[in-house]
Amino acid sequence: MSDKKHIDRLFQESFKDFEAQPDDAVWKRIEAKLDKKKKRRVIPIWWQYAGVAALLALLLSLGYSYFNTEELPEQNRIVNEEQNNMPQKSTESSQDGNNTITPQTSEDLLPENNLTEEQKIASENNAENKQMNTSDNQKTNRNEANTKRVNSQKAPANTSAIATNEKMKTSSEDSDYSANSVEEQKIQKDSKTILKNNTKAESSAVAINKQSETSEEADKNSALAINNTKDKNIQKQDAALVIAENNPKNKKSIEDAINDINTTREKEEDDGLNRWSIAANAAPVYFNSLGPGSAIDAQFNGNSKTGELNMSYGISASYALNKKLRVRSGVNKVSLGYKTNDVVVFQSAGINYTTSKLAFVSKPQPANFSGLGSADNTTFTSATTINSVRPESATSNAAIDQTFGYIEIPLELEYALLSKRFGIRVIGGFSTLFLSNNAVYTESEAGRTYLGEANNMNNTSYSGNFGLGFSYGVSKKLDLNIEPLLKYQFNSFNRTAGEFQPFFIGVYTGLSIKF
Amino acid sequence: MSLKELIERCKSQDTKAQGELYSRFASKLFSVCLKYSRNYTEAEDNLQDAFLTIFKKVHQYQNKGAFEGWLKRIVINTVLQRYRKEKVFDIVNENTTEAEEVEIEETPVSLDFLLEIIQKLPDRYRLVFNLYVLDGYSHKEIADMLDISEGTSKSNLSRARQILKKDIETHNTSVKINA
Repeated sequence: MSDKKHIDRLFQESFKDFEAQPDDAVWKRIEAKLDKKKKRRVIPIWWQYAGVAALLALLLSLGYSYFNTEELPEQNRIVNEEQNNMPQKSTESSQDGNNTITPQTSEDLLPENNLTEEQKIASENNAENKQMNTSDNQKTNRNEANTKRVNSQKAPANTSAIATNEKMKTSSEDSDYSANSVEEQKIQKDSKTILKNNTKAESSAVAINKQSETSEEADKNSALAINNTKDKNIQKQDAALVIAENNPKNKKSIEDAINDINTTREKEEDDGLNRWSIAANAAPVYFNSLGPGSAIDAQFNGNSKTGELNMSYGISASYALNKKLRVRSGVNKVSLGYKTNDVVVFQSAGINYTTSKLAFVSKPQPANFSGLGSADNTTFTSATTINSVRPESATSNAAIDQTFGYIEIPLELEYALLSKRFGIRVIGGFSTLFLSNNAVYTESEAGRTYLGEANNMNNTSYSGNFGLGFSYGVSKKLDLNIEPLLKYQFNSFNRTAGEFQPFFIGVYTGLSIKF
Repeated sequence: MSLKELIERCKSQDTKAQGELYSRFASKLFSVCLKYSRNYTEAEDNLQDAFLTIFKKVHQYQNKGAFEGWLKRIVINTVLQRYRKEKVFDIVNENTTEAEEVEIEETPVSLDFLLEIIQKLPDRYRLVFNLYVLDGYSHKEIADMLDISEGTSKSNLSRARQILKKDIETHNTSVKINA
């Protein structure tokens, strides 16, 4: 027993020089986490710039299309009408159903567009509401009830109908919907409306305005009616609420759309490097030029020029050089065009103005030419210069519309700033543009007339491309891409009057498949 | 590259320097993790967490005192954070076990076995034993670190010793029988 020792010493001595090499996997994991942290730190800064740039490009192109085409506002109108119709429909549907509507107190859910409803619609709702409340309080189902609101001026014969003020009073006392009853009491006090319940087989109820209403009173009524509609909406069935909630989504702005994309950026997905990918894309392209020059004639240098929104579509293939860098090429068909505004077109009837010929437009054979008459006699002048010698036959407010199209072969590099499920990349490169379409028209009230083709365009030209790419991984192989790109054309025109630096912007949208 | 230079580069989040720092100190710090953890896998997890903390807080190191000591304290803190919360429901009489001498026969015992029985200890026994016996902390320091009383620290230590002694003796007997 002499060689006993304290247990502490045994451990101390044993572990004195203890070292253990951990598995390599541990460092791999640490490295991966460090990487992630670094990237996270970098992202927010890039996001701000990238977001601003993308927003600008989107706003530019969308804003342009909004202000320059009449179709878009019309579409908005349609959407609004649909939205206005919704509450009406739901009102009707709730009327068709049994009176088991439970009041929903969350006013936050009220669609605001009800306030902008037309007075007429609101009044109708008002009538319907009253019918609803009355029938509800009387605990009778009037499922097929029809309600009409008639001004007594228009139907004085109906004034013989029994006024049911008392009835309404009692019913409003029983009413569960305090808001509505308050309003109905108001209505009673004003003695503006009398509700007549027709309990015949058709079960149709007619609300009649007994006393002649001034327009002012009518306004008040409609104001009340709007309030009623509001209350009505509170009582709306869940399904109707869902519809109402969905409606504002139609109005979603670009910012919202981008926000949507942003929310997905948290999602992360590791995937291996797929070297090849092919993509199809389509883009609205907007053409314009820098500088005050003209590609048609020197006299139009000062005229305003409006770019046109056209389409580009194409396919591309890309190859990943490494995790960050991809090189890509493809074929795009792109149509471009712009208008020179404030042009005066007139027939010079034999007199040759010096301005009758456009410097950079070759006229076609007379056989192809129709419209304003003989080519030689048609004169174009900038509206700014002609005021003094304006011939009577002049068609003012005309525009010269120059259109051209290219087959575009881009060669671009993509540098990935973020390559998770949501990806951001910077894109730069150049395109070779082969002229495929070239025409000049004049546009006026009289119509659109072919003038000829531009003789100052190069058959082959180049553009410098720069932009951002955003991608969202729909699946491991499939990406959704949005790429706002600016393409600056170097030598599209070999001669121009004044400074005319053309460029076009496109928001290239499409799908790409990796393999 | 000197250690000082390495630390400076780690402070600027240089990935290469971080790798270098890891390869210099990983095995020493991993041994600490092994002693303080329940098993090998958890030791790896603790080492990983400790290094992430080290890289995150290296800028706080003011070149005062040994860098290795600073690293080791982070490792121990990481481990403590993980196991401190585990409650040990011991109803050990704090006074009776304190003065007991724990001596064992001097027979060669493998390091692996010692490590194994340390890891098998209840969490707080293991922490107290490691801190007091192997890393030289006082009961007062341990009490502060683990948020327990000094008495509890002492009783935990003696319970740990008894368990370890029993484990070694059982082991030795079985070895003798087999031999």
